[in-house]
Amino acid sequence: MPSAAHDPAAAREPAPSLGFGLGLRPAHYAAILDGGDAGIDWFEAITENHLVGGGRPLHVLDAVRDRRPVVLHGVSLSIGGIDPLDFDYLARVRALAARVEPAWISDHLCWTGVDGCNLHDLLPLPYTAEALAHVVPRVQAVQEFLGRPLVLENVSSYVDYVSSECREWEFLAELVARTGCELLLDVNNVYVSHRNHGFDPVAFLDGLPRGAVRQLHLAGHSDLGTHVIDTHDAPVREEVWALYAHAVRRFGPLPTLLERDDAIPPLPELAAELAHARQVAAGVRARAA
Amino acid sequence: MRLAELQRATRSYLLEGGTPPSTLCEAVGAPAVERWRVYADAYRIRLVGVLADTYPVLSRTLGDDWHPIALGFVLARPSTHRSARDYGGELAAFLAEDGADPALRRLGELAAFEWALAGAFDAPESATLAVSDLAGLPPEHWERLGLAFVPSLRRLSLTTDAVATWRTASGGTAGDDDRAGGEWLVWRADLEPRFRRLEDDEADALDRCRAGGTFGELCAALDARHGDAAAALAAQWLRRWIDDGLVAAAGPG
Repeated sequence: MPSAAHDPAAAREPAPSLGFGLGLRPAHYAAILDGGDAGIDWFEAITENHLVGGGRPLHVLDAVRDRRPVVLHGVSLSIGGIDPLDFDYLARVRALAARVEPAWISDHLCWTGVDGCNLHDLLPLPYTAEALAHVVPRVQAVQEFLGRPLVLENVSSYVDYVSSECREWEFLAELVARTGCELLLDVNNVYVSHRNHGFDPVAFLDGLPRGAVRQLHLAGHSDLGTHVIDTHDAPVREEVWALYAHAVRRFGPLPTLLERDDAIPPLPELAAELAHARQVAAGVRARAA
Repeated sequence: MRLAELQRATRSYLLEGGTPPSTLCEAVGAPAVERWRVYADAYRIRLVGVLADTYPVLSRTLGDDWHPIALGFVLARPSTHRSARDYGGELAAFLAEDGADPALRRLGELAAFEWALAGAFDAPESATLAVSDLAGLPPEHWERLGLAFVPSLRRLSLTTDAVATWRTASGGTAGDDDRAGGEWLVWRADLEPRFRRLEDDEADALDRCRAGGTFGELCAALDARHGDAAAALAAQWLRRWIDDGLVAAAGPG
């Protein structure tokens, strides 16, 4: 059972207004610590990169945390995997959270491995009653263990399953209703999956419960014509900015995070892209006023 | 398809490649085979990339030969680690499986050296002992003195010029220290991995102390070969280990 703090019926705390942040990557460590992070309000650290005993990864994370708010973003919880939850891993996540006091802890609605083998990918689930019944108690157990709501991200996907009984956003909404978990809405992932599967991306956004979205993600992708791949190696595309504007209209000025994992440019270039996100969000709010 | 069946079929396909099984190709959307190939390709690219990050000099040294070797490892040794950073520790053994090939033996030792550097890089933090911490130790306590070493310390016994290869490929200049083979020490100080050669006597002494031997036992072991100089030699090494930041604590053994 979820703890009272995670009761879906309980009033949610409003999301802290972290502003506009950037995924923390080793390529930028030196520039950030030299004070080159102007225009970046917060950082999102990949949890697994810092689940180490010590040395530079923790030293840098501590130093970044002294400068800015930090969020921990995991990639291997495997909340949808059939293997038992790994409480050794979760204990390490909990210890890291006690050290850096992240604003929240996120991971992905996906599975990453099976039978002890980690495939190091964010693999989609079939959106079935069986999968929901499997994931709900696991989310509840993780929230109980971490003592906070889990924030789950929608993944980009290249395949869909005939066995799916509902749409991805309906699955996410039901998961929120049953567990009180929160959502990290990756706008680029919505766009990528929409192109690959043909659903209406606006319907995806409109199908998510308003109060449950804690954070937004932005990233670039590669358009191969027949399909789109979530490569995180290029600036955010126009189509995704348009979808982002819709997300801000629907969910409000949520903390927004830019991800870049390949062909990583210097920090000022990414700060400029974040400034564009600010403009888009400000434009939406100005029109709404 | 049941969740367990789907996940196991996906794992088999990603690890083995080929054509995705018909159970997975029931996926909605006509080009299911092409879509599944995105995942299969990404699996290989991602893990080969992880290995290249962990073994930067080995991958550069191998050049065009790197990719087939790394891919061979990826296909033979699936990851069981939550963090990709922990993947690839068996690469040295994988390369050394054909022990008769001297080139592979050298590459295997280069891999072992880079894995030791990677391990030292983010090993657990530890306090380190200062020479002054031992200043007031009564003479009778030295006999029973035992040492605890920092968690970043790694020991390597090499037979090839792997370290010289690493140093040259990293932009350094090979020196006397880099003659082929020998006993090596890797650890972390000031957030950076460090390494140095150990002469055989010092390596034996360090290994003896790491295994729980006391300072008195070390002196006794040195006595046969070094006689009256044994205690001074042991003290000299201890001083160096402390100055290097290798010793976490000292106390009754």
